[in-house]
Amino acid sequence: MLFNSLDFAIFLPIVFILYWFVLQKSIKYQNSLIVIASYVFYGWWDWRFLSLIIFSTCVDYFIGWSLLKKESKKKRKILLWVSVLVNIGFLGFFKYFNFFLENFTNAFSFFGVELKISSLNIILPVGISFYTFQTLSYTIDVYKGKLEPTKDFIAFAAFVSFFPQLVAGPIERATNLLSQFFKRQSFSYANSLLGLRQIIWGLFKKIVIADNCAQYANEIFNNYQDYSSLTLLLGAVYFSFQIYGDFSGYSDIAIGTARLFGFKLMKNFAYPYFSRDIAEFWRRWHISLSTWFRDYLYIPLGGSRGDILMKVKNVFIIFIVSGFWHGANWTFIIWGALNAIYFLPLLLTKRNRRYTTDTVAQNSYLPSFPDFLSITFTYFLTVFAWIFFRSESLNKAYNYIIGIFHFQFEIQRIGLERYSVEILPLIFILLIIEWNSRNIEFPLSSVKKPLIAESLVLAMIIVFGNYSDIQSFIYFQF
Amino acid sequence: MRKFIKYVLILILITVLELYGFDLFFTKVYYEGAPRDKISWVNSIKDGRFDYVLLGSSRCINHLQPKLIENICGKKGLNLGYAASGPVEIKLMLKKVLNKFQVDEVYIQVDLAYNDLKPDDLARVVWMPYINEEDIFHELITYDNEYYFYKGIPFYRYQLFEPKIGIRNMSLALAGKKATFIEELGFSPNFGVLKNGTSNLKELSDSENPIFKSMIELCKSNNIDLYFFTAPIYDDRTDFNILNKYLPNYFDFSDSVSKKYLFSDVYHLNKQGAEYFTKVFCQTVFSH
Repeated sequence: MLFNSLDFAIFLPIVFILYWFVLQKSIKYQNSLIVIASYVFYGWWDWRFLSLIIFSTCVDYFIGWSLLKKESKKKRKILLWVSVLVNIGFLGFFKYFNFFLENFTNAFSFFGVELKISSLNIILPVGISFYTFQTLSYTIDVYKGKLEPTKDFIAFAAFVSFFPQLVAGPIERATNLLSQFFKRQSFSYANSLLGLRQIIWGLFKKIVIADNCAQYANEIFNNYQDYSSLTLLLGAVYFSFQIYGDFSGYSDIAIGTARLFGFKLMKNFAYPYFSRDIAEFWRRWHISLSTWFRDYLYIPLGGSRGDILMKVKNVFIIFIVSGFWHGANWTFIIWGALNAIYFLPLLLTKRNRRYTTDTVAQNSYLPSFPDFLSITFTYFLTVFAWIFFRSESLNKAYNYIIGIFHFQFEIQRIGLERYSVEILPLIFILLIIEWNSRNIEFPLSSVKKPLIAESLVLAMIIVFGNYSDIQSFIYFQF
Repeated sequence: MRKFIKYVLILILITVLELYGFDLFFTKVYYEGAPRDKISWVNSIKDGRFDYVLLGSSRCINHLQPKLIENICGKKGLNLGYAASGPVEIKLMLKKVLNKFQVDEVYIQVDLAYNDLKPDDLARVVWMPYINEEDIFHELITYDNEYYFYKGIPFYRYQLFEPKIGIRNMSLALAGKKATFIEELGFSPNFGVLKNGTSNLKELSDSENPIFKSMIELCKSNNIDLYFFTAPIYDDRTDFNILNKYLPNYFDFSDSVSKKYLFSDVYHLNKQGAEYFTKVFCQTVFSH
């Protein structure tokens, strides 16, 4: 079920009314409703893959429980590895099997050995990369003694399958979300209003920004041979706003929806395109995944401790794994590696933590000139990397980049009627709104006349939104 | 909880009111802004006395040049054809013309679209901003109840048909960017030369179209001479003789142009072809 669909517009009020009007007196009933609603939400796409979530839930619930009973270090380690193998095994099979198979046969054919192994016709279950990481974090935290395993299976199932963030995050930690299923939720007017506002803002980013940019970006990336340097550059810029509007919009809707039910999810985006260096960008972009990799991969590997070689190795590992997490394609791996290359100079010169606390231009409306240059430079570094992320193959990404450097600056028509620059005013509007809101959680969270502002944003979603072809969320494929 | 539900309801209400505002604004721009389609152009013309008007689809707009007709025969007129326009849209335009102008003769381009009995999905869109006009709504609602939604739900039609009448087109009308066909009195040329291809039109079915019948009666009651014609088609073998049975004053020009270089595609002449055909049309029809 898509957040931007009529199905969800009917589903959400039904669940909301049942949760607060019918089942408000029992936490068990409320959690049961969350589980049922989440399974309906997920099964709406393909009910067969519900079995994976249920299996993953059962495995991690029982492993968590067994970890409490077992005192032997060896047995505890075995249990941890069972969880890792089950979760990563699912992910590996559904997402990476064909990729490894293809590269394996290619490698053999390179040495003159022709292997005849045909790939499998595997459908990638929506959100598998998200919920497997979420359940995995539970087992790891229990193993490390950071978390008490839960006996409440319903609460645990609700934690794993919580529908607002089930298919595209934020990837929650049990330490934050699971505990919220243990206390009975009571309705908060202020919290629900905040949730509603965040949903509206998320829909704006998705339907107005991402879906409009998608129309242009898809056309330009699919027919890049026909377009001038300027159009190709615009195509990459449009994709950067498409993926931002799409994914941060999804996160806002997810966080807002969770708020309607009294839950507080972690922040996933914090105005990443106003970052002054790539390290700051990664503290502001897909925060739940970055911190997951930091806590469960980077730090266990040694983090930024050790000699230069160790640091370089760890940075490359974390960024390449992060790239690979997004998809089984060399384009994602190169995207990850590029980000590692961007990040390394900052780490090695110990400038990677320059912007950890403050927001740009805190005491003024406009950024200083050096800040402006840093923001622009960082943004175009990410745009360059997005070209690999968006392209279907390395060859296409290479040709696309070569096309940009042909230096033809003609403003072209996209398709039959529209000019390539027509969508720029919408991006400009988004940037102005976000710049004015850079010190608050999201733009509608603190406005003077909220009712008018919300209704205007809703009207803008209808007037400026793109409904010609309802676009799925990009991150569903990961 | 009640307070929250009340808040949501008020929010929806205000949004609906805002959408009414947007709807009114868009509609006003289509009536008063720069003409971007044939309907708004007709609405904008003050002095409406013409010897003739031409109606039909792209095979009308691309083929006949009113300026050239005026030079050759001295007749003053407009080409009010537009892309994909079928019998329903032609009838709507005819009614509009009769309400707005004083016209002596009306020429309608017909071909296989003669058999169409419903609004064309593409051509009907340009009528949507004007659906509040009783005549237009009354005509369209006979084909489908969906027109109640287009008229009743604020901004629905502008969002649903956004590529044609949405924010972009409205902004251009507001900014005063007129359609290019106005300079040519409704004619809009096609470019390029046909390379390959033959017509693959199906057969016309031998049945009278009630929409055309009503147009004939409408012109009769308004004392207007009504003519029908079929514009040139490259290498066509369709028998248009059936149209003589149902349409008065019918001229078949389907095989009047045979040279490939005068076509931009099988069904459309290019600019040079349009000039040639306009001359043929003048000699044949206006000297009739």
